[in-house]
Amino acid sequence: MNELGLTRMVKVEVVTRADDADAVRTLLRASGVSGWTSLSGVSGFGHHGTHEGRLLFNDRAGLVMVIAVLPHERAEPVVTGLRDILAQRPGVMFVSDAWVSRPDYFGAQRRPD
Amino acid sequence: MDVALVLGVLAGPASAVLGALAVPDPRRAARVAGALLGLGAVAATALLVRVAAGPPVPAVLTRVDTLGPAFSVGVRVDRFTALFVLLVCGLAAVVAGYARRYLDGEPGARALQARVAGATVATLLMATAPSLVQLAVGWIVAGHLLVGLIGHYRDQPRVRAAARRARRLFLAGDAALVGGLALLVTPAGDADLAAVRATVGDRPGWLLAIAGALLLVAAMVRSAQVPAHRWLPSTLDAPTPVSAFLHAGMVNVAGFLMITLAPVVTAAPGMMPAMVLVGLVTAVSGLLFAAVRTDVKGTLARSTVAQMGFMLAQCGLGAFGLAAVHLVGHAVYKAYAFLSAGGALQAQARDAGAPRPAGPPSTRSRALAGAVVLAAVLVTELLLGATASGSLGAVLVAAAALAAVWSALGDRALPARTALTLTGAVAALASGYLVAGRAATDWLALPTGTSVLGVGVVAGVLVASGVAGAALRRRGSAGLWWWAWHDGGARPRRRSAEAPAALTTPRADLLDRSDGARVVAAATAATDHVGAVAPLDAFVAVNPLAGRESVPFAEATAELRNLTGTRTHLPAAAYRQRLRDGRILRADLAAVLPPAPATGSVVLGHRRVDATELQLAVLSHPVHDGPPPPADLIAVARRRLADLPARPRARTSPEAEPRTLAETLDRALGTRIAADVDDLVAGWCAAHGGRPAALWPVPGPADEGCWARWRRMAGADPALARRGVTGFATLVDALPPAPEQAVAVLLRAVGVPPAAWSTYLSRSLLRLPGWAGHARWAQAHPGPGPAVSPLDLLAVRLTYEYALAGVAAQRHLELPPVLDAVAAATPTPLPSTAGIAPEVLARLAAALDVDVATLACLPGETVAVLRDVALHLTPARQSEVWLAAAEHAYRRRLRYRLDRRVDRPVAGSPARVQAVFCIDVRSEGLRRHLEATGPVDTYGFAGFFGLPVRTVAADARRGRDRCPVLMRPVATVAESPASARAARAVRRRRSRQAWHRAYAAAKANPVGAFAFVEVGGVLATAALLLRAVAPDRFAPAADHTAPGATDLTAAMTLDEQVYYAEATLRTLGLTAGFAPLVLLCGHGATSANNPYAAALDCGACGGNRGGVSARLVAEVLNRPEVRAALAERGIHLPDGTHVLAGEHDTVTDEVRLFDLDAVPAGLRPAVEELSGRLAEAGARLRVERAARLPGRPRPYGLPRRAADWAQVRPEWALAGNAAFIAAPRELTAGVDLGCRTFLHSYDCAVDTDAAALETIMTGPLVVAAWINLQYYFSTVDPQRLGAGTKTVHTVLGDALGVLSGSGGDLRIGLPLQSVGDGTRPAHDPLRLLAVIRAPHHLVDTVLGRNPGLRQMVDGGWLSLTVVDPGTGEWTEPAPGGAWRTLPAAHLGTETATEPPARRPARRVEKEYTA
Repeated sequence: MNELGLTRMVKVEVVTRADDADAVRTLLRASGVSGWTSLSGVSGFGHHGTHEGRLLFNDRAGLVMVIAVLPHERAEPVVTGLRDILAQRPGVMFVSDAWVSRPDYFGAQRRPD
Repeated sequence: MDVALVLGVLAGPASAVLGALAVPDPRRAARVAGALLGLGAVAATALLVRVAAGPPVPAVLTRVDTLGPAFSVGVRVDRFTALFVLLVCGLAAVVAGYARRYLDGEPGARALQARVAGATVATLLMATAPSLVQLAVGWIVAGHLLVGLIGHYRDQPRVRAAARRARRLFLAGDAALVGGLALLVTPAGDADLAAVRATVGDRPGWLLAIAGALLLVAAMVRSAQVPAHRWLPSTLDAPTPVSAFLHAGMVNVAGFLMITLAPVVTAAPGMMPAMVLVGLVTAVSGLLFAAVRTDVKGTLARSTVAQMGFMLAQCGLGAFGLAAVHLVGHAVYKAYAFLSAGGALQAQARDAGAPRPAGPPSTRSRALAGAVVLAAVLVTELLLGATASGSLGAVLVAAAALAAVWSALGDRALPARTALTLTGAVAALASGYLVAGRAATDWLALPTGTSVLGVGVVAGVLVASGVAGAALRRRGSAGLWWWAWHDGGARPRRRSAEAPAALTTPRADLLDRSDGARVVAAATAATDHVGAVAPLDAFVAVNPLAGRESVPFAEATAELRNLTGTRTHLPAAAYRQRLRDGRILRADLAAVLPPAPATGSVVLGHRRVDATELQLAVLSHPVHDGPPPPADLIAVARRRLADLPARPRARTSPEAEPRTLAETLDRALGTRIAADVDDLVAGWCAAHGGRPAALWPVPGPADEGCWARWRRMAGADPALARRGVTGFATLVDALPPAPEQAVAVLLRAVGVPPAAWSTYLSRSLLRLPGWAGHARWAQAHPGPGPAVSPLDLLAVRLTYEYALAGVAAQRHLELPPVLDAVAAATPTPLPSTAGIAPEVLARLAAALDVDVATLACLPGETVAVLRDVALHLTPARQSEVWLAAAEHAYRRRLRYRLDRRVDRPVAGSPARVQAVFCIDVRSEGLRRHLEATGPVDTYGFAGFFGLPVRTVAADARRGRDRCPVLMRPVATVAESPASARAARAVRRRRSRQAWHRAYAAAKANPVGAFAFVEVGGVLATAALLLRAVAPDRFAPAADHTAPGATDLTAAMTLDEQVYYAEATLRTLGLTAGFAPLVLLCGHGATSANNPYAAALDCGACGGNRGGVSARLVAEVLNRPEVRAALAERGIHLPDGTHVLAGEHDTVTDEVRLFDLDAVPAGLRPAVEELSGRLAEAGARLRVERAARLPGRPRPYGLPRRAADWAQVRPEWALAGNAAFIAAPRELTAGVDLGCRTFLHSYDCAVDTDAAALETIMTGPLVVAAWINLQYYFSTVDPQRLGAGTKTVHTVLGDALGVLSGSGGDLRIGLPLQSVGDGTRPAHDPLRLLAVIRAPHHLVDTVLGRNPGLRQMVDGGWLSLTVVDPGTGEWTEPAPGGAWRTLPAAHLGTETATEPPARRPARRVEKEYTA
């Protein structure tokens, strides 16, 4: 992809309960990840059975997918932390390569205090 | 006549002491004491009138000359004394009347009443004393009783410490007083006041100087002057009425002393400058102490210090008349302020919902208003003839008035009429203050010899401090802030033996690059151990163990017990009483017994006992903690146990019982490092989190986080140095700026392995579950206010712990603060033997009727079986079994009633009225009584009626989320003043807010505050009288926010409205057969002066009143466009059907119907009829509820509780909740469920895909279970998992929460008064029983789709029962996904224990007519 002017980075996708998504986002923030995308109302089927996209009167039990793209040097702490978080609660993590056109956009930024 | 009046004044409180102690019934005793104190106040009023009209009242009852100096015993009443007597009597009467309701049911209420009355008598004896001896005796006795009042909750260590501190200081003060008075006895040996005053000019200067100095010391102690002031703030752990009595009445005796001995004060060389100096230092210091506080009562306590300083300075200036006026004004104001302190939270919530000031404010109008009030002050003072002391008052009141108008007129949109009225009122009050002050001082005829220089100095210092205060607020000094936060310095340095120890700075460079991320993960897991704590103005019930719902209830509670020693079940003794009462049957117990450790039976003497009987014997007798068994039985038991082969030792592993470094050291050394760390962390959290409420908040930028702010400030905190830590600033500087990195550094430094981080951090968080819970909530709800995140909290905590534990480890063990090293040096002894104590076996033998001889001869195997069954059923395990048995008993009774219900006659189809109520347990009662008045179909649905929105009042600072805790609002509905009526309402709110701003600004002004309290005293007197004669005027207004259909349409599309309307109707099962009138009835509770007001409101509406939601949904359902869209989806709401909104006030049981002018003319008769029937149902419900309330008040008196500022139990709210029933009303109609069940309408016949059932079981059922678990845990451990007693609560920050007394953790859960009547629990702590009427396959579908819900059910967080719609058979989940049939219920012997109907039907009729 280099010939297309793209840069290789790491994409981390986490599917977890909405209630636990705050912890994921806190981890990303603490690890200096510059941004992420959250998709709520994710549905699917897994170890814990069928998950409907959204419950009418319960926003916490639904699933959320958090997608973040980060440079390789940040991947280790993020993956380690996510592994620890998901060790005790339902959820899955997918890590894959991603190619981006603006690497600085996903690079280190000043962390919020 | 005169003497009779004085004796009448004394007799009132004196007989009140006797009444409080002698009348057997505590409630009656409190009533009698209050009435007698009231009579005393009436007599004091008559005395004041008499003294005002004539000369002073002297009366000598006897003259004693046999005890050294001669002195009189009797009364001496001049104008000032009469005023002081009225003040003391009036305050005592108010406080006693307040305490009667406030402490209703508390075991110590009677003693408190007696002490208040006793302190009143002693103070009156002192105030009316004709001699120094009587004065001293009254002073000392009052002080002693005061210490008793301070120690009211002496079971709390902090209270005992406060009482000890006060007692020691008072003793020193009393000694100084006696010494000073002794020196004043005349050379002729006369100790009468008149003689002392007459001869003071003849006494040598040195003697007067010494006497004056001693009297000043006594006054300084009693009126909390710096540096003897620390006892006063630490008394906040006493109930609020005591605080009011103390801050308003008792501290003033010092002022009284100085005024009474004015001739001595003026004659003693150097005394007046000393008083001015002490007074000014105290006033300025007190202002600073108050400025940094973030809780209401803490601020009031420090402001008392400042006001007492000012009063002493006035005396030092020679302005005794002004000091007397200040004394009285401040006393009444402060009493009112303390007694109404609980209303601060409601006021904050009201302010948040009020229109924000429109800017920029007009400087011209502010300047004009300022000029008007200044001119008024100047002209008044000139007309009165300017004097030095008058000028001081003018400066103070001018400052207050200017602050008031400046703040009030800071709203450009303020109506001109309001601005004019407000300016005029402030000017009139300022002038009136000067006129009244002059008149009062002239009338009191007290000596006044003020010098211009003295007044100039005092005024200059106060104004300078005000200016400096403003500068500090902009750019604060960390050192000065900490000084003020610690009330003038940290606690005294420890003994020299504990020399300061330097800290080893942990190395940040050793961190692994993933350590920060691992800490985040560990903190996330640790946070699971605490429940989120929402701000109190949006009180939402949360299971305190919500994060642990993935593990079974038994495991999670055992974990909590091990970690913190928290009580998670009622003690077995409480359940045994229920067994004796018949509320639990042996059959219930037998049905839930765990598998026995050994099956089969044993022979005990001549009888055979099976395993079940053995377990029942252990459960039904206190074998583990009962009275001592006979000695010979113990001796045999000991011998028999010794003969048994040893059991494998249950080794306590570090993982099973983890401890933090501080706890490990505490256990080994007997120190209290962990508690010290708790205090420091809780103090910081209160300072940071409560910042919006402080006049001088913790310095730093507004957006600075908790850890960053603490890191910048902590180095300047002297508290650590005082605890022997040196180099703390260096340690803090060396820590990383990111909290997770700092935590990682500290964990590594302490030697905690990464695998144990989560456990270590959870243990650390559980030390302060309130702040940890707040941090958890704040993390999920980011907002503009100051927040504390779990990582911030942990970083601060671990730093303090590292410092304090490091010093202790180094000092006592000469070790670094490393966990393993400390643990190795301080091994924990393992239990010497495994098994049971001989007493346990002896008690079990006695319970089984096994005598000494039989026990001695039993085979060894049999003894081993007895030992094992006792070992198996530990006290903790027994509590679990008993809980299950109590739940079994409740389910049995509920089923019995439901199975035997008599079907009520079916109303005409369709019914004329369909009424939808909230599922809240309180609605069950109203539904039942409404149905009893005539044909009506009632339904149950969560009280937000399915519309999850946030509403924002016009121009308000904050909105209100009107949806359950599990949801987030899908839209923000902003109120727009579209109509002229709405615009008028907004203008009214804006005007009202301007008055509030004026009041708050005058109070907060550092110079004007000294005049404000005197004006406030007059206003408070009026308010106190008004509360007595017209309390309804003070009932908090209901939520005025009224967003309408237009606002809703602006916030939500038609499709969204239709979506939610359809979901609501389908979940209700109401899709056809609509009645002409459909009522949506929300609920709310009116209560005054109640920080927990939101806890009484609708939980499904996010702790708000439900009327607004009902109105919005009614408007949606009445929209023709919505009806058309619904019709396309198969729900035909006929044109002839009107949806009406209403709100049930659960304190008054009155139902208010909204928007009646929108009701079609043809339906108005039906609405009128419905209104009448609702009133009748409300009256019936009041009768029912009155019988359940403590003291069984009269039903027609219940509405008064809504406006009663001393009422701690306006109603029982959801106490008693035990079941959630999702079924058509037919299953429960006609059955009195005692307001204990959540009733959700559900019709499985129209829910073929389980969509509605899933909505119910994942939403309302989970919320109900959380409510249930909050009540459960608040009942079983009110101190750790509940909020403790309400009577010491102080509101923190901007509606953040409450603290207990002088500090500590943020309180969680429900207050003691919500779950008990003072002596026993009013809530029966049972886990929620969910009864679902549906086929199994639907329930299985829902459970299969929702693993979280499945975990709750399987883990025992609630118990699920399914009622088959066809057969009526009851089943419960069994292992492997099966369903187990429950046997038919029987009533057993419980009929004997059913609460008797207290009031006969005749009484009901009477109540209707009342």
